[in-house]
Amino acid sequence: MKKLLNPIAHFDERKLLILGLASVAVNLAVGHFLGFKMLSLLKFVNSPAGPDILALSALRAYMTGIVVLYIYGWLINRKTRLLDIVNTVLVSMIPAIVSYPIVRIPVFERILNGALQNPQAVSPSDLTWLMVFCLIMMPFMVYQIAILLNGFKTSAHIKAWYHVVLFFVILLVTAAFTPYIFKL
Amino acid sequence: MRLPIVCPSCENILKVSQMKCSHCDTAISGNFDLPVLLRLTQEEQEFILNFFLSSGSIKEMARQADISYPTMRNKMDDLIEKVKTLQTYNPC
Repeated sequence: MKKLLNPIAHFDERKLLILGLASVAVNLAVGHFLGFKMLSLLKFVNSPAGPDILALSALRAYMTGIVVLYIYGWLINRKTRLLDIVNTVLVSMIPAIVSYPIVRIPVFERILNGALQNPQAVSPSDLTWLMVFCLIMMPFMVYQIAILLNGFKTSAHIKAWYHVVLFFVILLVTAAFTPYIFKL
Repeated sequence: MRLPIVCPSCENILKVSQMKCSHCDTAISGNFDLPVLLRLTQEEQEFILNFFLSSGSIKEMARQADISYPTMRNKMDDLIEKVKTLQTYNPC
């Protein structure tokens, strides 16, 4: 369990890199197949865009996350290695990729689209389904954040609580601004 | 037999008060500080010994301990910090 919560601390870096790169390929393929556009490490939207735009958007999200976290890690600890940050970011996306198909389950897709178009018209039964959807998605998101945080803590060797707080602030700000770095 | 380095009563670092020749029984009394390396815990001393036996390769140590390189490097950094602190507050 400990190994799964922090793979960066336990597994060989080359194996993690291969796994991470494979996950990028799967992400691009599944994203294209299911019509998801990856806007940042924490945000995906439905998109009818072509495979080139979807791929560029995903690569932009990965690159931004890696560069920002590497700079932050380097500022805290000069011994922080780019490879460890790359592995952290790539591997952390695996839970998100696994959760992609859940959004495309017909009942969830119908209710989510309905709630986005007209939030006031959501019926009590739909609300129940929405809660079920959130309960299913929550562990994937928590696991993704856990890998990101634990991986970053190992890579930059952070211990202070304010470094962790700043990590979350930087993560959220990066996620918010990544889609505006260059227009796709 | 393991060398005790911490006082079992107040948990302060112990000092050497007597050394004795096992051959002729000559004894020297005094108040000697333990060398920095002996003030580390048994586990930390073994870590340094392993580092030496691995020809100073953190990567090799990580492979032997079945953990990743950054975890082993972090352990090493913590130990370096501890040794620096021991040297600063009680040089020997």
